[in-house]
Amino acid sequence: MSYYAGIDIGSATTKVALLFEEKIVGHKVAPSGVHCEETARKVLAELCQDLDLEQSVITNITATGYGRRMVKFANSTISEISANVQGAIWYGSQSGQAIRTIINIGGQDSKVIALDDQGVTKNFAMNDKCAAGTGRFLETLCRIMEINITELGVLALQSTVPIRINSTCAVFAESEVVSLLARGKKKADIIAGAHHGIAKRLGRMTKRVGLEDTVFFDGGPALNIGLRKALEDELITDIYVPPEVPQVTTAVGAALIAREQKLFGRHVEEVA
Amino acid sequence: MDKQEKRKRLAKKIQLNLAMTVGEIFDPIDEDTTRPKKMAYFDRIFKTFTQGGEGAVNRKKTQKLIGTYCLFVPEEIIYAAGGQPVRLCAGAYESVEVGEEFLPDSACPMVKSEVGFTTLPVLSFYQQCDLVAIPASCDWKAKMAEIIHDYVPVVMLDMPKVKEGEASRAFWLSEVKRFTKEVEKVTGMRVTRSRLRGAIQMIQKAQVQFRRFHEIRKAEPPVIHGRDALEVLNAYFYDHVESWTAAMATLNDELEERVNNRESVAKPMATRLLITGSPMVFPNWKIPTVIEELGGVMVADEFCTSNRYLHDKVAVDEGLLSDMLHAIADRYLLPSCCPIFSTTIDRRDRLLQLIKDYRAEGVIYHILKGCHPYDVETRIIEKLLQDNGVPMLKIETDYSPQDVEQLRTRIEAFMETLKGQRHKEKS
Repeated sequence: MSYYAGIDIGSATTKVALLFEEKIVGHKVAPSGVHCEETARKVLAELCQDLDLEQSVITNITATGYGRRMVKFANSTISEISANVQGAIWYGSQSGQAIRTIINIGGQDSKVIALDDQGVTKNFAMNDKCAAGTGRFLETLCRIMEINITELGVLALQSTVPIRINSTCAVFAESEVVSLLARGKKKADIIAGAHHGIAKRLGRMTKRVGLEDTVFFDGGPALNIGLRKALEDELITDIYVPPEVPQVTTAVGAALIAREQKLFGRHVEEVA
Repeated sequence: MDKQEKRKRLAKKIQLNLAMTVGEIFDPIDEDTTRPKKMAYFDRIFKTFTQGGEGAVNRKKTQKLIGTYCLFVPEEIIYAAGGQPVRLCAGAYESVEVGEEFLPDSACPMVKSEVGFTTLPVLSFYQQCDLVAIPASCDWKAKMAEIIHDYVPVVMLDMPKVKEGEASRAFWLSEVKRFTKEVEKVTGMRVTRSRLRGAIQMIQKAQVQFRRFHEIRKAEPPVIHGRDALEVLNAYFYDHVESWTAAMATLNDELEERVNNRESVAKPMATRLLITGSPMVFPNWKIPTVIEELGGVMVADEFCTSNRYLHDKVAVDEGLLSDMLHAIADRYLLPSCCPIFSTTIDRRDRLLQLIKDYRAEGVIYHILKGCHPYDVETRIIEKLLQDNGVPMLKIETDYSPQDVEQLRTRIEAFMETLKGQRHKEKS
């Protein structure tokens, strides 16, 4: 019986999850900042402190996310695709659901992963270098609208007919949204339109990899109820968002992989 | 989630996307202060598309609704039998993906959109039809009845493809008579001599306003956009003929005043374009919108949904019922410029006349992907225009908004070419 940690260093935030065997004992989210190893170390220490645990009880640490190779104190690394899959399956099994499609929106990328009935990755799609339709885009939107990111979803639900936003590019959207605001358009309709644009983009990606129920939606933007609804409308299916913090699923997946590696000595391979 | 629930949610999605498209089109239009005020009447009809098309069709509750396709189903007969016609030709990109479940990829977007709207409850009047009349004009239309007959009651009208010769006329007349009987069955009202005469006269009054409108459009400088001209005729799809006629009369009054005040919708020396080919139905206004955003004017069109719609009149010699039916059958068959017929003679004459009357500098030939009749006539029309010194730009596209920027480049280059020609002629 032992503790395992997963660290997910994303472009925007760093997520740490701590497992006791297969049970989550705690997790923490903090901005990644400039020195991601420093941040990872700090967040892990804080989490242990919060839980009143000695850091030495942790038997194995796996890092994932775009900054995973910077975390020298981790015992192994894994791609965020594989970690995400493990996390999603775990959350699915907790609620008795077989996850077949994962939609993840991060700070600078978005991905769709298709799983077979054994929970093995069949196919996946990621956006290219561009950050269109990601969390970054939503942040830009909030800045222009002068609202808090947590207000986005609630505002979007107030719209009856969203305004079509042609660009989900974080750069071009700015000028489009500014001109819409200047023309006196309602904030709610613009935001709903932006969510719709992201949903359309993800919808195309999902179609490419193949959509099957149950659909699991995670990453920070999964907290946004307006975006979730837009995705449900676009994909014509219900979407499952993990109950606690949808940002930490990948970190949980990494911790599960840390455990598996320790217990079964399984060689952890990079998938992507 | 069961199948029924999925369909319901798909309908909701298509409805929302359609509403967004309507907003995208009308937002800038509503902000345009140079536009004729009386266009608002017609705008209202299309804005109902944001709410399932409720109220788009102008009819009394007790009236039977008869859906029509193409420009071959005699409306005079529907009105005489106490019904309200609604033309169902569709232009929405949103419903194309629904129609694709029933049709091959090679089908035109128009038939896909129509099948989409018929099989999925998005615009209510598609499902409310008590009878849908489909002429076997092109191959897509010929097969349509079989595809949608589980959803709406359908009657097919066979079309002769060779107009010349008495046999074709007689055959088409027999189809028109059969259609009359079908409509009477649905409405429960006989088409009598006096009712039919009344209906013919009612539509002729609309034709007077239609012709007046097109006379006004010849004015220099242009007082109305080509896109708006498409819109007013597109509104005729759904409106009761008398309400439409009244609205047209007030629009024409306003436009005549604009002519007197020389109130132009375009800059002086704007490029004058004529557009022909596969019809454009709301909300597929991407080409006219691009033309006019670039400062050009679509001075005329040669579409069965617009300039051809009410052009030809029923010529009644004698007031007997059989004579009137004869005249009605002839009106829809003989002058038709539809490319489903074996020769292009009528279309060629009409095009050259329109180019001359509206002083068009160039022609845009619009082909919807999968619209074989118009595609097959391209070469003949291209040669005709070449022989007459009229430059032509062929555009093959569908309802998807994805190629708008490419279209913009091509249309802009075409307009620049035309301007170059103009300078050359001057010097």
